[in-house]
Amino acid sequence: MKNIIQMIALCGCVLATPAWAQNATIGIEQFDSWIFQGNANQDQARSTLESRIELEITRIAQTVSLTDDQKERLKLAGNGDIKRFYDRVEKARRQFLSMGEQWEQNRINEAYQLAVPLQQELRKGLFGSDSLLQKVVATTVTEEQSEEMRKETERLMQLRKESAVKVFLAGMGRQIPMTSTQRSKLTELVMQQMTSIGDDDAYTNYLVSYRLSEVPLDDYKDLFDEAQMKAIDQSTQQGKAMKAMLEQRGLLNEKP
Amino acid sequence: MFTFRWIAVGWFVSCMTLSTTVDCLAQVDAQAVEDASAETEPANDAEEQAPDFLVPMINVELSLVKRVCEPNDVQMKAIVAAAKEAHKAMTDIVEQPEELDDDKPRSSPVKFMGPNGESVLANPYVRVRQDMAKLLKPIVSEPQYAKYTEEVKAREEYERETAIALVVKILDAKLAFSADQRERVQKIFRSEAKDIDIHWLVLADTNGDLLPPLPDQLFVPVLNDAQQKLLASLRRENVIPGIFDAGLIEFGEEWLK
Repeated sequence: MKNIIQMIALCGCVLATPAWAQNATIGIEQFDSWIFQGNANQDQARSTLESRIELEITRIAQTVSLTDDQKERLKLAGNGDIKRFYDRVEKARRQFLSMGEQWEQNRINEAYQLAVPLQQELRKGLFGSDSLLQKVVATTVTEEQSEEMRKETERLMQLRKESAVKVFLAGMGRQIPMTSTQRSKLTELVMQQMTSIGDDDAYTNYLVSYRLSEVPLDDYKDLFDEAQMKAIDQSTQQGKAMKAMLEQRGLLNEKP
Repeated sequence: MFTFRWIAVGWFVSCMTLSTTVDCLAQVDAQAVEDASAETEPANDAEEQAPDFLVPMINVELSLVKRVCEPNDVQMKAIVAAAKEAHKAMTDIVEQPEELDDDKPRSSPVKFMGPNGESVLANPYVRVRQDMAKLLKPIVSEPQYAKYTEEVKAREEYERETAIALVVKILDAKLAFSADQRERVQKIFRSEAKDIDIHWLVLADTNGDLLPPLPDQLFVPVLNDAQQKLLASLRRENVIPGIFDAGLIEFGEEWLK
């Protein structure tokens, strides 16, 4: 039953409320599961987030040497990010509980919309550029360390872009027969379009598909035959259809 | 049975590329081929159902052959016929209903799930390619075959390098590697990893807490204490990928229906 409700809420495409849904009940556990998804409960999610602070600190320490004091300050900032997130979760839970127990379809959607931003925030990670942790990093490390970290981040972004493009095209090569010359050229062309990649790997494939759709047709039409072009066109159409979704998630920003 | 047929058909077609149809036909002892085929025919051939979901993969490979080897019509016909036989023999990579018994250990771990929940016991992409290489050899000329092997080698290298880069990226995202660790792990995987496939890794790449069950000896020795702790907090699950979960692009050439 929970799954059915979740599917309906996810699709958001039911035109009329089915009779059974008028009497459906969703509880706080269901609401929590929308937010915390793969985690069994809030405690597990908290423990995962605490591990992520360690991950962030380990990552910084791989590039620049940190003192124990610096590490402690970063840990405190990371815990601050977790607290801020849970404050927002509590606020959303209170709103959910105040919605009563009459779960008509539009109210299920309304409840789900309360959970979605938190769910996305959690999946994307709490320690991105707007986080307390990153702000404290900026004030904790020296200018020289900051420059080293910037270079390392840039290098990793480049590796992520290359990986994303190659994974996409390797998969595509299992559906469209391609010679190595064709594959190499397409890799090069899509790489040129990959001005950004974003933080959320869940959308990387869609992003590459969209970037492929941006490659000018003239750049590759002579390289492929008619049947191949027709299949590539299917892929670019799928990519174009992703534009609004990618924009909504800020993945088409031109920053690297 | 199917291997023998490929060889028989292949030899036949090779002859046709070198000689005239009439000359070549005279060289074929049709009866001998038929007799040998009958001898190697499996008894339950007609009973087992060839998995339909492998057909698009075979068709893509046949389309690649068409582009790379540029076979003539007679060769292509023979290649398609041999591929059809190879497909029929692919029942062995799908767990048959009579083999499904929860109390019995599987002879081979499930590697992929078919679109209808079929348990696939081998990497179907690898199998289709291996079969194609086998069936092609006796049918096409040496230069044609060399072109194909060169092309598939390049594809294999591209896919393998991509998969290894993805492994390093996944481990780095979850365990925060240094530049040196990234290089070391990449090197180890290049020399020691077997059966590595992008299809198995993509799910772990898009799921923050999930780590695919990579062999410990290939990366754990390079981890420091902090990373060992992080590793312990991750879920290491073997998520079996669905063959069509990336969404299919329909390629218009249907050699096998």
